Amino acid sequence: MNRIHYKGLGDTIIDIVVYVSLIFLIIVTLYPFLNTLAVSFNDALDSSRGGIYLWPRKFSLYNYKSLLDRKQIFHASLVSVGRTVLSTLFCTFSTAMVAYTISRKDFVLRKLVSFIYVLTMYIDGGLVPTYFLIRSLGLTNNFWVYVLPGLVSAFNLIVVRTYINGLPDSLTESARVDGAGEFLIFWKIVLPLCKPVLATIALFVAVDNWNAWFDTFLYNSANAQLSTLQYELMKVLQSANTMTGSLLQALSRAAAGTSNTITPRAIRATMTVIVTVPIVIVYPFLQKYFVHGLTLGGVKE
Amino acid sequence: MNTSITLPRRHNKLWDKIKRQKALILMSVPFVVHIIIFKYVPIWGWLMAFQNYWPGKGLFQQTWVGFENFRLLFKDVVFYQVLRNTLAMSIIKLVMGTVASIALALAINEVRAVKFKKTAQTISYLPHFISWVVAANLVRDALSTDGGIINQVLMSLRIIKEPIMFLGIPKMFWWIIGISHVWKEVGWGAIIYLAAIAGIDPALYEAAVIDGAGRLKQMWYITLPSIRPTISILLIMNMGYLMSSGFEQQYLLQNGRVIDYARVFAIYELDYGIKMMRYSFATAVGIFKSVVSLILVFAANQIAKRWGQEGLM
Amino acid sequence: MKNRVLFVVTLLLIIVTASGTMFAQNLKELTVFTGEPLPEYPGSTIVGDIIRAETGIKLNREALVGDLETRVGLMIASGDYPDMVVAAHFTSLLKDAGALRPLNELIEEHAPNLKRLYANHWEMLQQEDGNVYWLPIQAIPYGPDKSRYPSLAFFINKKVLKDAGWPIVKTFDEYFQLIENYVAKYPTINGQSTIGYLTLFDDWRSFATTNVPQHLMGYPNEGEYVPVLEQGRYVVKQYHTSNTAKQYYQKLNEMYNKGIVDKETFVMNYDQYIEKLSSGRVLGTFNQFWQVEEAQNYLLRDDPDSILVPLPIVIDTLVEEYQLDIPYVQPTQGMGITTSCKDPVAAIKYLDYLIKEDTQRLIQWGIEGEHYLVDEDGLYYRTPEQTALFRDPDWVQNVFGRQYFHNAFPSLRGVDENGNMFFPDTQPHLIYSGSHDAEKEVVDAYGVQTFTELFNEPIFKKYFPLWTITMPAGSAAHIEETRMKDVLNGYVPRLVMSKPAEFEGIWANYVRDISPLMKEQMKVYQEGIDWRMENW
Repeated sequence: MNRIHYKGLGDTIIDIVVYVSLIFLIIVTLYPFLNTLAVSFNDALDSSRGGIYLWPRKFSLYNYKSLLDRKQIFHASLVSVGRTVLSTLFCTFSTAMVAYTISRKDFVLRKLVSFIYVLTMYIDGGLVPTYFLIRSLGLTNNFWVYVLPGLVSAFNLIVVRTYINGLPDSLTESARVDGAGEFLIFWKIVLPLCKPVLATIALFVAVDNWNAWFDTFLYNSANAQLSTLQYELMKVLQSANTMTGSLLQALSRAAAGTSNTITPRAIRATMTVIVTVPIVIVYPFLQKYFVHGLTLGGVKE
Repeated sequence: MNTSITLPRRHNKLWDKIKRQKALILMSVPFVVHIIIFKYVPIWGWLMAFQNYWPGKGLFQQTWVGFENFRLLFKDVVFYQVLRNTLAMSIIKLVMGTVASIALALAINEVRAVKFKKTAQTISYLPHFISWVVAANLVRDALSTDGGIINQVLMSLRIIKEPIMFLGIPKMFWWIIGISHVWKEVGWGAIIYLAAIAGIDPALYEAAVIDGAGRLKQMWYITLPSIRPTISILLIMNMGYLMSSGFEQQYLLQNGRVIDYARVFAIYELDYGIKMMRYSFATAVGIFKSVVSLILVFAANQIAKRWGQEGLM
Repeated sequence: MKNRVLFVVTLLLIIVTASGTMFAQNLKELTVFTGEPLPEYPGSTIVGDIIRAETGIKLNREALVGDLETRVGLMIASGDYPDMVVAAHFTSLLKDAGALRPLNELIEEHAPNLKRLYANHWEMLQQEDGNVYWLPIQAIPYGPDKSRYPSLAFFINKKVLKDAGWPIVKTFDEYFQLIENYVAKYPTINGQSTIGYLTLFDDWRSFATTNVPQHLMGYPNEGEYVPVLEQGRYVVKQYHTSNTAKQYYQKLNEMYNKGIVDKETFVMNYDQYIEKLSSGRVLGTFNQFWQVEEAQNYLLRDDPDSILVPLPIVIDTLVEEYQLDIPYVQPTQGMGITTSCKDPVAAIKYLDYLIKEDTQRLIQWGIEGEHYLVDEDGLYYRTPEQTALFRDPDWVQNVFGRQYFHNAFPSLRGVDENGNMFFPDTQPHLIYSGSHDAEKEVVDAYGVQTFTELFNEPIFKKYFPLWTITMPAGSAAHIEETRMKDVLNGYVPRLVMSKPAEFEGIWANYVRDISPLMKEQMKVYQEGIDWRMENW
């Protein structure tokens, strides 16, 4: 930290307040995840009884086995990683570029472009018309349906634009005086300055893509090769729901008394862990842009 | 919108400008075309609201009913209850969520131990990844009268004599929604403010320190004003989302006792629209929401501009 | 940095596309969409391989993942149908949209087994135009079976019965008396407070509370209304404001105020309900069996003294109990062949192959000698090793492969042509011997073989059940139904949780608000039932 600290009574009080409230926050926000972890490693039927807090009561790996031991899972994970990486790269880059153009006060289309984007946040044609559009563009049963429709989101665009507006004008002015083209200014000057906000929207886009299953359901459910991890996990969850929930199953019951039972609750917990762990692992690479040495984040690099 | 495109007198000047800004146009127009295709083309679906849409027939073979679906909507007493609940919960969530996230971002910013800072930040966003289906059960467990932690703590502190059935008190439901929203989303919401803080010019702090400003003063006179554009832009954008206060959270925490305070638009659209295959009615509800959202956003935008804040457009 | 990322992405894409190349096979392919979520087909199973070899057909399945409304809505809007489709309550909508082929001629010409085995149900499958468009997923060609549990009941904790010396309990008052006595005697169980009675009220599952009056009146599950025989005609009547309903809610109110009914019962969700039942400290609850099955499975394994015992409880001794379901097939849903199917003959032949007795035996029992044996009387049985194999759901699903041809496809139920049961679990001489010791202890004490024998044999009613008549989507009756349920769900918690002195006032308001919300529905039900009585 390069910040010089002025030590006084006020500062000590701030420290106490900050640390106490953060520790409280850590406790209440860590608990749900630890609990989910414990349930995911607990025998499913035993979890029905409740009362599991931080540690499994009847340890079992069966929940993981029933979710991961399927031939589709590996391939679907690759598709998920592929769509997440591609979407994140494309989205972040295009959002930043459009944001740069509408951050330029003298840009002739500034208001029009902003207006067109802002409106999209609050209007929605609905499922069926969107489906027809996607189909007529040939994007059903197509990998690119994961990447193309969401290329620039209005929300992220405005967030980045606001950030660029907050940058000192002097930085771009001097480049313009030197006769640099707009794209060059964007690429060489603005983009590096925007690292904190780009890391943020990259995170948003990546998480959205990683968690998405509805687009697979709508557009690619007929092609197993394009299935995603989340979609595969949803399949297991739904079949677990019917396993315990159908009259038919109840009538032809045979399974009581074995440990190989899955329940929706156990599946949900296990799914949560499976999809969250990769995010937690990748997170620090993005986090360093907005939490590291903070105030030095963008400007001095 | 007051672009100068339509003014013929300045046409030449404008043309010059366009030519000069060729690069900027090339960098944005293809994406505008993209968004028009993907977001504006499907708007023809709104026509359904003026029909008695029945799947299996083409859009133009449907019966047209004019504003009948809107009439049904405005006539329904449940609709007004839903409107009240949606707005109340949205506002509670927006205010509490925004304040909490900004406070968290400021707090994290004040931590000097880098490891603790990163850990606290990482852990605080974890609940975002836990779906409401799982989270709602944790909230229910915590609020239970049958050994729930909140009741136990309150009882051992002698604040209450016997357990309170929090989820069974209609008036409390909105606040339970607000507080559990903060719990689940505060860390995630703080990320955007952290990024804004990271973009503040360090020279400003250096100058403040030379002037003898303590940390509280730095926070008040530098950090907060610097992230004010972000705060105001997010508030404006979220004004438009007041009509959609979420679905799963209310749906999974509600119960027969509090249903009159829990039913929001998404639940209403599902129960009285999609589940009955009243697609046209559901579309009418959607259009109503969009129109109100746009009015709210533009109003908020104007107010912000009048106050000298950066607007959306 | 960027280059490295791009490299990894390219590599990934190559892997993804490369592993996509499928090996070609010389099989005819059919696609099927099942509106019920099914696990992914593992590619090869004992049952599946035999079926594939004998029919020469490879089935490409798409099981439901999201919600059915969306999937079927899109299917209809776009007109992209698979060859065969099972779409639960959207089946008739598919027909209305022209998505389903009439099956009469196909069956007549190519499917002798379907014709023979669905003969009992043929009238109820014919639509107004005289055609059959779908086949219900179960047919009962030879006669019904018995199951171990009734489909619905008042359940009581085994401990209570045992402690009271296995009494015979018949009325609602006796049932609660038994519970009250036990709570007084044992206020805690395993250190936690005893829960006298629990009623489920979570979202759509609230029927477990609101449907009860009809059962206290002695009816099986008819739905929201009951048909009463008046001068040879079934007349649809409502029971939500009946005297029985009032007595029921008043009793619950009394018990709530005494602390017998769990305080949280109206705010808990289904997971919490299962949790409490599984804790073994709940003494009584009403429900359909499949809603308590998860808890029962847990109790059978880990807390056998607290299993739930189903009892036939009615409001008073004047009422005759007929709560058991009359065996029925669900006539309004089933599997259809779509207009997109290029080879409907192959599809109907495939279904015809699936439905025949030998195939059904293969799917349910397995291969003779390997998965089951036949005794000198011609009865099928399994050795303990074989039984153990079939109790492992992993094996049944992934190695044997029953689910993939059973849950969503036309199949047979009940007695087969030589006196065995299609479902091994309902084989009469195995029902008792296949029971858990915990279950045996109870049925032994009451001198019966199975819990269902505690109930009266059902009386045959041709239309049964009323609830399979559905409101036309989006109609006035449909909207009325939703509003009625909203009123019901708003009032019931108040009726039960109010002070006893306030009950009468709330009841009067409830009757006032709900009464105008039933007329349209009753009209639809009455028309439906009249049609059934005349045409089935």
